[in-house]
Amino acid sequence: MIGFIGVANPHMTPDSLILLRRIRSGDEAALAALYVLYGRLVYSLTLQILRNPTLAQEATQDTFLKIWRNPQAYDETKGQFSSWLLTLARYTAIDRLRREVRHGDSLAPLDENIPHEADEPLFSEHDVSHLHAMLALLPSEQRLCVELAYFHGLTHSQIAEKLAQPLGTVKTRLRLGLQKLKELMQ
Amino acid sequence: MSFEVDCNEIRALIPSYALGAVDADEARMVEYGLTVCPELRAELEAYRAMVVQMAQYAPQVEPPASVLDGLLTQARQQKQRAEYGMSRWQVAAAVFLALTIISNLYWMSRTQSIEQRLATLGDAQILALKTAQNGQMTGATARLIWQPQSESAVLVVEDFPLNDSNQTFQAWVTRGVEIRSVGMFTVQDGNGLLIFDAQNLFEPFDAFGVTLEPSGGSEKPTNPAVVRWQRS
Repeated sequence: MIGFIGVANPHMTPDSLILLRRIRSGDEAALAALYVLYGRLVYSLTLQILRNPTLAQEATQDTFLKIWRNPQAYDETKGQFSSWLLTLARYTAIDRLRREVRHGDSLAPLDENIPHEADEPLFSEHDVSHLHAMLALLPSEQRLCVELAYFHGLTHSQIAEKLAQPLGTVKTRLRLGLQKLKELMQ
Repeated sequence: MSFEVDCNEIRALIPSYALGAVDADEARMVEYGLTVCPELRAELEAYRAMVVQMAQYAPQVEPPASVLDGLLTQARQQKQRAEYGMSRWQVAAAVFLALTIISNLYWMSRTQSIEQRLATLGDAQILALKTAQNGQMTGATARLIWQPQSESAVLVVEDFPLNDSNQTFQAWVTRGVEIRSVGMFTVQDGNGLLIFDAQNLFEPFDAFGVTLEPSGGSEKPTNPAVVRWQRS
């Protein structure tokens, strides 16, 4: 069989489909290969959300185990595999975050209430600045809405409730924030 | 019955929809709206790509080897319980063996003295990766992921030299004087993946390597190996 995929370009769906088909038949090598291709991306995302290496490692395993148990969950007609996988990873991490964080009535900064391991810094100063620099360029009210939606998985109404803001205001801020972010990333 | 759809209203929800931040009723509205305003699909894909990009903008951190170990251990446990109804002791023994081999596999993928470490595996059936050409590092690496129970084996290559349109990389396995091709592949940005039938691997095999061949492949290797493993 001939196949290729670029590790530096993980959006190539056809080879992901090949691996998923093999995973459906219980092929552990295919699962390992899928992890080799996407494991770092998934781990980095879950670490960004959970800010705890141990939790991020567990969330990473859980993400791939969900695929192992139910590889047919991916519907290729609805988008690229990498998008689906990262969405799955994001929500897996967010679900884990919700189990770990105690909810209070007041809004806590994203860094609070999240267990930190007293070890080396998670990211270097340079690394953190790369993503957060873009978020920092947004007006603060837009940035907050984007962070609550992206890192905490909150919907419009949940954000509005948490911030005690009108629903329409939250929708507008989130839309403008994402539009601005898209411009910055281009 | 049809509903009035304002495409501009749907467009305004596209960014949040791509992020998964819309409420359930809004999601239904967007999904219906996309059937009426198909021109918005391209915009939706652009925002979905942005969400993926946000993940990639996160600082990239390599997970520890134990993550893959744990993943494959749990996957095997689930599979064995489902398919064979193995006893707890049988599962534990199989997991211990797999974990030992996989630990060596993943550790070896990160050491430069690959030949020394491979020699310690003896007849281990789970084998991993890479090599050097004539004792000199080419800069290219490869990882062979293979288990006897699997139908397929996977070769993942990194930092390979580029091949032009008249060339292809070809993977070989040898035992004694017998040499067999297991497949061909090309690379993109130096990286590539070959999935092949695990039955093509001799058990055990003496050497595994990849050469650069003319497009369409060769019956025998015609060039020095880019990556190669030799049993000592």
